[in-house]
Amino acid sequence: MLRRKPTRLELKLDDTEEFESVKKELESRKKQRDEVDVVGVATSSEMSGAAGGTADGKTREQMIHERIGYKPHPKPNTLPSLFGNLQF
Amino acid sequence: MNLDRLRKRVRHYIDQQQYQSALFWADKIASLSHEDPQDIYWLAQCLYLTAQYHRASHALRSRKLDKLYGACQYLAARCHYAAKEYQQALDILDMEEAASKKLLDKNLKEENGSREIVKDWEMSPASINSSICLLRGKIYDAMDNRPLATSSYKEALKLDVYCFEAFDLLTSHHMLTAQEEKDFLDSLPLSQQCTEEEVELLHFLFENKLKKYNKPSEMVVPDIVNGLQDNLDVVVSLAERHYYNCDFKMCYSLTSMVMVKDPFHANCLPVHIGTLVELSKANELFYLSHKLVDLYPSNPVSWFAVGCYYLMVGHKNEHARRYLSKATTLERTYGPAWIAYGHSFAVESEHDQAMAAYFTAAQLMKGCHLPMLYIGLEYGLTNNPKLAEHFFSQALSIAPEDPFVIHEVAVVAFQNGDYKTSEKLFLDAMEKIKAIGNEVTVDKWEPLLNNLGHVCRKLKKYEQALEYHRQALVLIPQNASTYSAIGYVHSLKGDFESAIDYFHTALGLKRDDTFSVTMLGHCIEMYISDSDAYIGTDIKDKVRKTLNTPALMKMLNTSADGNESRAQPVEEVNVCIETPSFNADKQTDAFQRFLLECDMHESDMMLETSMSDTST
Repeated sequence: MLRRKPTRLELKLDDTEEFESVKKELESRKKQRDEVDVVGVATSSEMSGAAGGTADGKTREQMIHERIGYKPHPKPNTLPSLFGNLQF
Repeated sequence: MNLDRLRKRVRHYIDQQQYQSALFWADKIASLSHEDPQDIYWLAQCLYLTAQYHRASHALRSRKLDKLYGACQYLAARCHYAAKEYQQALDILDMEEAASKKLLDKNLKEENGSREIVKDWEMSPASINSSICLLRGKIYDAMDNRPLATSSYKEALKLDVYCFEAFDLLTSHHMLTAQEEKDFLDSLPLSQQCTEEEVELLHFLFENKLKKYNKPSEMVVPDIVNGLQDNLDVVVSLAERHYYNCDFKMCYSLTSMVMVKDPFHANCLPVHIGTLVELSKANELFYLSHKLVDLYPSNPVSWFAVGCYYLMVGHKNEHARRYLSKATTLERTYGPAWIAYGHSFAVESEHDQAMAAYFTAAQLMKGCHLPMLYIGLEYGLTNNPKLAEHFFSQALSIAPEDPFVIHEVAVVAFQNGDYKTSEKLFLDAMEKIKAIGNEVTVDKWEPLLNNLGHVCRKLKKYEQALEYHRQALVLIPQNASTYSAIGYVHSLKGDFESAIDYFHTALGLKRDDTFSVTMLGHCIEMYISDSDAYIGTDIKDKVRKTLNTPALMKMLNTSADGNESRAQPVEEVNVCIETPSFNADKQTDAFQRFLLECDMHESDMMLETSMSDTST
C-alpha cells in the first residue's frame, strides 16, 4: 500500500519571534559595550578628542569608499599622463 | 448396468475441463442409476462448472439432498453464492444443525451404508465443515458483515489448518491486527493435524504472510525449508518486507526477478507497483499498467496500477481517482485502492474527501492502522490536534512499533509546544529506523532529520540542530527550506555573517520564501550595526598614523578653516608633491609649481568622480 511522506515541519513568519528575543538580548549587550566606550573617550586628552572628531568624519567617508569599492590612488595614473605631456 | 467406468470418464472430463462432455454423461448416469445421490451430486457439480447455478441448486434441493449430506449442502450454498444470492446461500448453510441431526439418525439406522457413502465421496467431515465455514465467511464478507466473516474464517482454519484460502482472506483483507494475527497463528492446532516437519513448514509459510509494515524487521529462513528460498511466494514476502522497511531499491530488484520468472504474479503485483511509484519509474509503470488492463481487465489490481501511475506523475489526480474508483468497484474490499484514493485527495488538500476515503478504508481493513494514521494526519492539517491525537492513538494501539506513527505523534507534540516530548518521540522513531540496518534507503526519512533540527532549535540545542539540518541536507541537497533553517539557527547564535550567506542561498533556490526574505533583512541590520565598532577602530588607527606626518600637520594648520571636503584633496596633493620632488631633485621651483597646479586639477576631477560614485 502506498505510504504518504512523513510530515515535514517548516519555518513560518511566526517563528521570527524566537529571533526577536535574541535580538533584544544582543542589543542590550551592545548598549552596555557602547557605554563603556563612551567613558573611555571622555578620559582622553583634549587633543585626542579633537583627533577623534576628525577621525569620525573620515570614518564615515572611508566607510562609504570601502562599501562602494572606491580607492583613490591618482598617482599611478597621473604620472604616465604627465610624462606623456612632457614628451609631447 | 455397471456405471463405474462411465463415472470415471466423467471425472476425467472434469479434470480436462471438458465440462460439457462431463455434464452430458453425468446426466445420463444419474438417470441410469435411478438418481443415486452420489450421481446427482456430480451432475450438480457439472452444472456448477458450466455456470448453471440455479439448475445445479435445484437438482440438489428438489431431492432434499442438501439436508442429508454436507457436501450437497455446501455445493447448493455455493451455487447461490456464485449467483450473488447471499441471503439464500446463508439460509442453506444455517440448516447445518438440522442436517447433522438427520444424518445422525440415518447413521444409527444404516451405519454400514452411511460409512460406505462417505468413503465413496472421498470427503472427510472436517474438510466439508471447513469448506462450509469458509463459504459462510465469504458470504458474510459479501454482505459487509466483517466480524462474522472473520469468525468464520478462523473456524474454517481451525478445522483444517491447510486451508490457506481462509488464512489468506484474513490477512490480505487486514481483518486482524498484527498482534491478533500472531496470536491466532499460535493458537492453530498444527501439531494435531500435521506431522512434526509440516508444523514447522506451515508455521514458516503462514508467518511470512503476516503483516510487515507495522514493525521494521528482518526475515529468517529456517533450514528445514531451505528449498523454499527461491520459491516466488517467499521471495515476494521478502520483497514486501524490504518495501515496508523503505529499502525500495532492494525491493525492486527482487520484484523484478519475480516478474521475469512469473509475469503478473498475483501477490507480487501490488508490491511491484508500489515500488515503481516510490522509485518514480513512470515508463515502466505505464507499460505494466497497459499490459494488465489488456490481459486482466476484470482484476482490480490492473486499474489500481493505472491509478497509481496518474498519482505518481502528478497533476492528474482526477484521472487517478477515476481508475482507482474502478478498482474499488470491481472489488469493494480492495484496500490499497481506497488508501491511494485518499492520497489523491490529500495531495490537493481536499481534506474532507481524503478523510472520507480513509474512513472507508478503515471500515474495510479493521486490522490495518494506516487509515487511522492518515485520518490523524488530515485532522492535523485542518487544525484539529485533539482529534489527530485520538486517531494517532488508535493507530499506535494497532501498530505500536511503526516509526511512521511515532513520528506523526511527535509532530503533533511539536505543534502543541511540547518540545521535550517531541524530541523524545523523534529520537524513538529514529532508533527504530536504525534498527533495520545500514543499507536502508532513508531518503524518505529526511523530514525526520529536518524535524529533529527544528525541535533542537526550540530547545536551544543549536549545535545539535545544525548537525541534524546538515544531515538532512546530505540526504536531499539543494533544499531551500533546509538552508533557511540552518541560516536561522546561525542567526539565533549571533553569527549573522553565516546566517546571511545561508539565507542568500535559500533565496537563490526559492526566491519567494517570505521567511528567508524577512530574516535576511533582520540579519543585515544586525550585521551592519554590529560591524560599526570594528570599522571605526580601523579608521582611527589609520588617521592616528597620518597625523604624525610633519607636512600634513603643517598643511592642516594652514587650512584650519577648511571643511572636510578640502581636507581630502590636501591629503592627495601632499602625497603627489613628495613623489615628484624625489624624482626631480634638480628641477627649478617654477617647474615644481607647474606640477603642483596640474596635480591639483587632477585631484579636483577625481573628487568629482568620487562624489558621483557616492551618489550612485
